[in-house]
Amino acid sequence: MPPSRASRRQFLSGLGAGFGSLALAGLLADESRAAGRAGPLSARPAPGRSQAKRAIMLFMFGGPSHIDSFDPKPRLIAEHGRPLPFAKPRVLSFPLRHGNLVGSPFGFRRHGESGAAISEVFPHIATRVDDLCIVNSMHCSNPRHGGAVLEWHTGSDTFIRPSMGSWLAYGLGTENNNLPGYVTICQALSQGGTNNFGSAFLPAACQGTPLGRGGTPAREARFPFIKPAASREVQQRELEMIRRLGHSQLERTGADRALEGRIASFELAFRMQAAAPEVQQLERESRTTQALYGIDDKATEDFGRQCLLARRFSERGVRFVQCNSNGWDHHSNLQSSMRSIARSIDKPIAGLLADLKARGLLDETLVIWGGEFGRTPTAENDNGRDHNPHGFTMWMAGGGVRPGLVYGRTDEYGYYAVENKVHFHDLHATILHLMGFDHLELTFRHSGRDFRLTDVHGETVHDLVA
Amino acid sequence: MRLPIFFLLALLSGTVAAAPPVVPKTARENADFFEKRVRPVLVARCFDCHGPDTENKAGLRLDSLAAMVRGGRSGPAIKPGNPDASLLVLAVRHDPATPEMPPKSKLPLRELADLAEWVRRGAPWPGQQTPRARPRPAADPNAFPYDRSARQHWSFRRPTPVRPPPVTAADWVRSPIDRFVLAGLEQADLQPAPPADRRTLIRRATLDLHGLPPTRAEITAFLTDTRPGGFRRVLDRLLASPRYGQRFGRRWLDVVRYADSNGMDDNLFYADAWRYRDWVIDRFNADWPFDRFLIEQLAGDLLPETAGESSVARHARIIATGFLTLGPKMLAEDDPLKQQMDIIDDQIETLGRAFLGLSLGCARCHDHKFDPIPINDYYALAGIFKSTQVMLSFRVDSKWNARALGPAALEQRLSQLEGALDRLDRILVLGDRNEISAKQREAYTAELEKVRAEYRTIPKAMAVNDGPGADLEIFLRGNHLTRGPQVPRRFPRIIAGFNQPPLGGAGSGRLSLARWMASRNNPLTARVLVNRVWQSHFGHGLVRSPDNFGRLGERPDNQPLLDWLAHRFLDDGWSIKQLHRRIMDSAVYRMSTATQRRGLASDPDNRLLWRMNRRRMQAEVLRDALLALSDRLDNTMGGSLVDARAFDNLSSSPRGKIHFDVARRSVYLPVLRSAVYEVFQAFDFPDPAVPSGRRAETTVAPQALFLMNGRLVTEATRAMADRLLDEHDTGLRLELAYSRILGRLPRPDERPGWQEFLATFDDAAAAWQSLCRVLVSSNEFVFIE
Repeated sequence: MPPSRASRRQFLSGLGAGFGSLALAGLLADESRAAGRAGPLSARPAPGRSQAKRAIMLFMFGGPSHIDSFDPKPRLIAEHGRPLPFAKPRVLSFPLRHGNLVGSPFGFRRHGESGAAISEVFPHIATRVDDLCIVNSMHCSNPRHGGAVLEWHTGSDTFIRPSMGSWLAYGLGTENNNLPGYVTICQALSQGGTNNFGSAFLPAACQGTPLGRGGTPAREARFPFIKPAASREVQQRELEMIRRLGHSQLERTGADRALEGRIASFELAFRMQAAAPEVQQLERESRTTQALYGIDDKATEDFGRQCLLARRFSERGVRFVQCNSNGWDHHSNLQSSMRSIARSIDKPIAGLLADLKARGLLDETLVIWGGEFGRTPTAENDNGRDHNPHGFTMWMAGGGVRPGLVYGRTDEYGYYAVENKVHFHDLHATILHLMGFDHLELTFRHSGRDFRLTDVHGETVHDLVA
Repeated sequence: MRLPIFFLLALLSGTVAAAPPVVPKTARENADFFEKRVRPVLVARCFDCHGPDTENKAGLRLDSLAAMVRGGRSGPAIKPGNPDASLLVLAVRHDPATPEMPPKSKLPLRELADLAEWVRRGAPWPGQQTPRARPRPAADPNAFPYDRSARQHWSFRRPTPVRPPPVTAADWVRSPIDRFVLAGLEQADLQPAPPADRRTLIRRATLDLHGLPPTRAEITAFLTDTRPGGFRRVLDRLLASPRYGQRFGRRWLDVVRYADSNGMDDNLFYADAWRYRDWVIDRFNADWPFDRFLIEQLAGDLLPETAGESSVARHARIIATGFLTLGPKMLAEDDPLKQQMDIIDDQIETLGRAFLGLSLGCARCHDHKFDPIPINDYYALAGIFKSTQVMLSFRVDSKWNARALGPAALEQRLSQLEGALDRLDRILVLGDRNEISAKQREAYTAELEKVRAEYRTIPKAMAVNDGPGADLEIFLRGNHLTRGPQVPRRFPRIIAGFNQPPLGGAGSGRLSLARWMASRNNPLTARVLVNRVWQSHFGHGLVRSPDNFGRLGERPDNQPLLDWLAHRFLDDGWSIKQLHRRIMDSAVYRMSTATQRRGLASDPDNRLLWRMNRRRMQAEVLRDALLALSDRLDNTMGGSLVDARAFDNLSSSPRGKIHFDVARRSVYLPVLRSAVYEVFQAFDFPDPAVPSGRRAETTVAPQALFLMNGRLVTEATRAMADRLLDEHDTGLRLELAYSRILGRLPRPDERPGWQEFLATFDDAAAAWQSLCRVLVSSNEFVFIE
């Protein structure tokens, strides 16, 4: 037995002579005090009644085609190859590349009791159709990835504003003191990058904590600086010394919130360092569960891991988790590209919905699916489609939405939303409503005025609420 | 609603498919068309809100031709003959630039087509004459809708000369500054904190001015310098070192939203931005007069050449205008005028916040709600910047303007290359030509590569060119599709007055603007700068909203002191170094952070300054300190550390091209918008897309994780431990570690705890590394006392 082992025990038991008068017992009391302090992330109830306690966003970066997934257009197929019979938007990125109408190459079938039509690229999601609340009349303000992605995440395509997840973390705090309140898994750094999960002027603790980034396989994704540089025992001893130094300084300076808060932040970091990898131990899940998410299949493994991680973070109390599928920008070769990326998310998402439901979590977990815009019914580069912010599909499930609903409509070709239009701002207002907030009331005073997620826009779409 | 649309569409399938040929219509046909296809739509779809008997939302009625042409608050509803410029048509099409009408639901395609067709035919309305399409001036170019209280706000009035007030405890006073502070304390019956000890003082001053902890030798020199004026000599030494510019330059870079990449949608590399950064550092080191510093950033290119000026000096003036062009740009904006106006907005907002402490951007869409800046004053300024060239064009994927740093021939060559770049981009990116064959594409691409290659070899700066001066119209509600009357270019009238001489000359008027901003008579400029410097020494400014001196900003905690400092600053010829000396050589700056019960109870925010504020090291200071303490800091100045080429998009794989694991001072690390270095991100580095005069000071777990596990910390503490191991006596080693890292010796009661701690390790190197990690993680190290 190395001579130092006894001394380690002695050191940590606080029996040895320490400097200052504060030993471990006092620090434990301190720890509970720190935990009980109303920090920016301490859990608090929403002001309104709500079923949803947490949200999971499944973000399809690039802009998935609605007319090839959830919004079938028989007329578009019938008029395949003919020119668009009405005016295109005033401003187009690449007017000369726009061709004629292109019908969807995919077959649609009606599913479930709701009878909603879903394309053949989503056979598994189709089995969950009666859980979905499909909005076919989404629209947003910006035809470019950068603007539209920012507008979806933050409500603004022009200014740097807090992201939706940050607003929720700000409004509700976190239910788990050992984990961040808002986690985003493998999010791309392009098109707005960290601003998409930043907290802007909200407290920094509300910002999204990235687990890996776009391009990192989910299997390898880690929180920044989480990998221990020394053994847990050594870190524990270091932590003890940081406390002692800190407390002995506090004895001289007198009470100081900043100094005390910083000591507490080391405690939190130490706990998070243990808690986060535990969440990521997907092998603790049964084989059946892993298979349910498609983790056993190479094609679905990556997004399957993201979805299973989302469930595990969510059930541990993380308020907002975002999974990211990067690669929906189908300017050409739509048929083959869309088929393969759709396959990569189809089973995992169906698995997530089934799993949440089986565990009784779906009612309190709001799941949101969609990208920054949809795509045009006209061809680009012969076999692709261009960006279309004027009409597209997003869907929600669980968390108090009305299941089995198909809401709103685009025109007969799928270019413009024409009926019961829902702007990003309206969906933001609705999501806040589902989480227990009036979007007009969840505000933060900054630079002399009250800011909110929906700025001066947004109307809650009550038809989407159960 | 659902059935009729299906129904209509089924009926219409063939008829709307092809656009009708433009043939003149008879009056009869037109009347028929209006009565059958247009009037019913207006009645059914619009009259609920814009009809004869309704509230006429947005001041708009659609029940007569005259009313339509007169329009509502957004301007005329139609422009007969031009559907694409008619708000009515755009609104029913739900164009993003207009409010959607009807709200939430869109008209059937046939009705849309009919309304557009009717406008195209000249809006024939039987029995009604088309009035002349003259936009009603919906905004007055000279309106100034603010009451007396808005005009009388403290910061819009020039500081009056003030004398330091009398005080009772005059023996505490070292400088006139102290009288201003002490008078407030005495009135509140508070005592100033006792002075900080000399170790604390030199650490504070060195971290303030250099962003680095003092070395052991520097500390010893100060402790043993017992002659009077020792601290003044420390200040002189610190201010004379180039490390000062590296620290204070960085503070200015926060204010001007400096970055090495565009951010936003296309995160293109700003390959030449670093020249502006180096220029800022040089100017701070040279103690360049602040008025001159301001003028060069706004209009350095327009300053007359002085006799015998070197080319380096001339280039420096051009580099300075990087201030105007370094902002984030929505390069993929499809609407060229919107792209341009967004860039102008960034310029106006940045110069307003940085120099005047005003949020001028608020007046882009409406009269400023709080400060007396009407929308017409915004477009008066916007006219100046609309006449300033920042971009080669405003197309999607356009490129920014650059200026060659060399002889005239080089400048000419650069213009040629820029022209070629723009032309080739247009062909290749936009397909803005008829179809090109694969072979042509290949040839164009090869040509583009050649042009880019030569472009990259030319030494150049991101800088502006001046264009012909032209006034701009007011864009109602900030919307470039709804224009009001023209406003003459001028400066905000609340400060510059209501009888401004017109901006003469052929150019933009930028130089006149800069000179007006930098004049002694401007009530804001000197105060705003003095306040920034004060904030850098006390953690808070005398005005706690450094970028907002308007009515929504905070009131000054001590306006006489602020005004006195502003006057001295002007008398010192706008010298910032002299300002540091004045502030730091005061009893107020030398106070300790010790608390007092009375102070905490009656002034918990320390607005009266009864003690020094404790501040956390900023991101760069922490990193530089770690490098310095491990003897690895590379003091090389200037240049770019980015291994990328102009126009490379950095968002896809910043990791491959950008290296942060270098030992240079932090100010030289690349600043990537939307991908800020993660260590800096964890420690409240401001968002480089917006001007930021004050950083947040948060305490979040990722900061602790960085100190526990970050590679930088691991490497730094290993190097520190290695050096400690040269000393063989454990007690001396501990003293060495303390004095290097914390600048003091361990207290006797601290030693046993460390002995116990060290005894838990088997390996000495690991033990001492761990000890160093604890010390750099400690509050005592990270906070500036």
